[in-house]
Amino acid sequence: MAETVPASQLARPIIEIRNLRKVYRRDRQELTVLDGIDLDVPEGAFEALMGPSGSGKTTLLNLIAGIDAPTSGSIRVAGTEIASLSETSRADWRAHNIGFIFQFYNLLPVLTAAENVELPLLLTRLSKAERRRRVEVALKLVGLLDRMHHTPRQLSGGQQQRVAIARAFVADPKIIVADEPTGDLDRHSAEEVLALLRTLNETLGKTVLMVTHDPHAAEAARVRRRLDKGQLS
Amino acid sequence: MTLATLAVRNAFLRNKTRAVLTVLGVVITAVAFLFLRTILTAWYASSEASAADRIVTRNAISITQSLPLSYSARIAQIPGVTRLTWSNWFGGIYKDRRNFFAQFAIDAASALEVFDIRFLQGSKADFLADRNACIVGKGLAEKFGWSVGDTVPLFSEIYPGDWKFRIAGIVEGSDDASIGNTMYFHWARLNEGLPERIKNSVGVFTMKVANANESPRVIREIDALFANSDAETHTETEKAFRLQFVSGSSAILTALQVVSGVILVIMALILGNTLAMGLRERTGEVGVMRAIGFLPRHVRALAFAEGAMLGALGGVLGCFVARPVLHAVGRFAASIGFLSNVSYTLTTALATALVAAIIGATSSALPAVQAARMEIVSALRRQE
Repeated sequence: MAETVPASQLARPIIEIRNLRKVYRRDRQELTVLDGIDLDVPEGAFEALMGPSGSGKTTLLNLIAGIDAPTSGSIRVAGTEIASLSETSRADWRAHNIGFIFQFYNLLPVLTAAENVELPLLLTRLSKAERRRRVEVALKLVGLLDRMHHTPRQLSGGQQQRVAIARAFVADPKIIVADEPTGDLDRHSAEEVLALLRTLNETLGKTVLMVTHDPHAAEAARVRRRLDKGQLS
Repeated sequence: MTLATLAVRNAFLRNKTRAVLTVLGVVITAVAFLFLRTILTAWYASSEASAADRIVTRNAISITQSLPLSYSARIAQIPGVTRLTWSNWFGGIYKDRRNFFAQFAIDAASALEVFDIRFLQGSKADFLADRNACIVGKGLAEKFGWSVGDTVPLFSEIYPGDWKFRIAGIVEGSDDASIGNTMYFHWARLNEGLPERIKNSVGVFTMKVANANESPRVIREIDALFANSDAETHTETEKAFRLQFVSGSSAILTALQVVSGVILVIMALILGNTLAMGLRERTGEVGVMRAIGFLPRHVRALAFAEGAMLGALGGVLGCFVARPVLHAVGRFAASIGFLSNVSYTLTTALATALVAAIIGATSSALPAVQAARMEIVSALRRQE
């Protein structure tokens, strides 16, 4: 069930999906995960994608983020038909348009918080000073500037996820995709993370697409969609 | 921060115990490799030190058979021969059989013209003037604590009797390190002490030729001169002459070459296994990096760099560790007269470090390619 925002408040779609189908093949067996999905997500939206395990919500998120390829159908994100891009072009497209937040933070343990945040900027042509400035701004926004030289092991789960959020938006992508961003956190840390996602959406104008099991987390989104058995409702 | 920073930390900080053990493994293989290469180099060194313009004539039957001294005058007549000298292997024992070193009876005046022997102590004139005098290599003087004026007693089973020689000089070779571990005395002194039936016998003649390019002709003419005689000759370049002694050990040398190759394979396996384990453990991180926008070539470059750094560090540390080991082995080998040129060279050390780095990079190829090929979604899922 989708809760919708009045049409007057909606900007043009930043994500346009038409007749999307994703089939996984293992040996001779075929598993249809998504079938005939149509979806428009307006620019600046904050949407939550809910559904039971195996419903295909992470697959849909991965397809939108360009880290997986559809079996058929069209995915147009930020003005680009990503299904037709080569691997190199898609990587470049992701670097410019998508910020990732994962359930288990996925920070590199050998890098400090600041270095983890700096990682996506290594793919840009920014100077070292400019990279440092951006990292500091990002860490300040997530409230961890004083922990910039700490390694992930020296941070709590909530702090690690905040570093991961800083990493997701430091390169200024248009879209933030978050896969169960609060799934591994306590209630307090989850609230902090959701508040940050709202800030990214409302203050920085990022389009946020979040997959979650948690109805409470989904409340943070302005639109909630439900995916079940490969069908969007 | 750069990708190089990440590679360094992945290599050395991610799992310190594993990094230390891997580097230690490379150090040990590098030391073993350096050791074998140095022994092989030393084995061939005496032949490499041979002068291009020197040729050697021996009895065609065997090196153990002698030639008449009278051949010297006839050989000297051959066009192209500018200097001629002769020598005999003495095979003496100094106090104990364990004190083995080479001794040659030489025709002193001509030998000093044919060979590049430099006097470090004592004098050439003193040596030439006294038939009971000898000259000893620097290495022998250091080993036995000899000084100019000391007397060296020798016992020989080839030339029975007790022989005593006064040291008139301590010498070294300009281009031949073996001279530093050899003793030379007057051939005339040896000859006068021999029974009549074996007097005026020579082990080998060594000639200098005016032009090294003429050596083949001179060699042919010398052997032709004594063809069908009682003592036919076999003449060859000094290098070929010395290589006979090396080639006699060809099976051992081939085995050493093979083992040194096997050591490199072991090094590659150690590094390859470590890198494969490291990359497998961080499959999820590879997935994240790829998702962020890094390309397969970035993943491969990181893995190659890690392998190269582990290999290079192990190689460099191995070179440092090998230095005292090889010096000790060199001293021991020289002391038993086995090899006189075992020395640690910078070239061999640099080559070892470079080879270790290249092996590190290449052994990371398979795990690197596998990691880079992995689909992002699969890599992320595996982490979960």
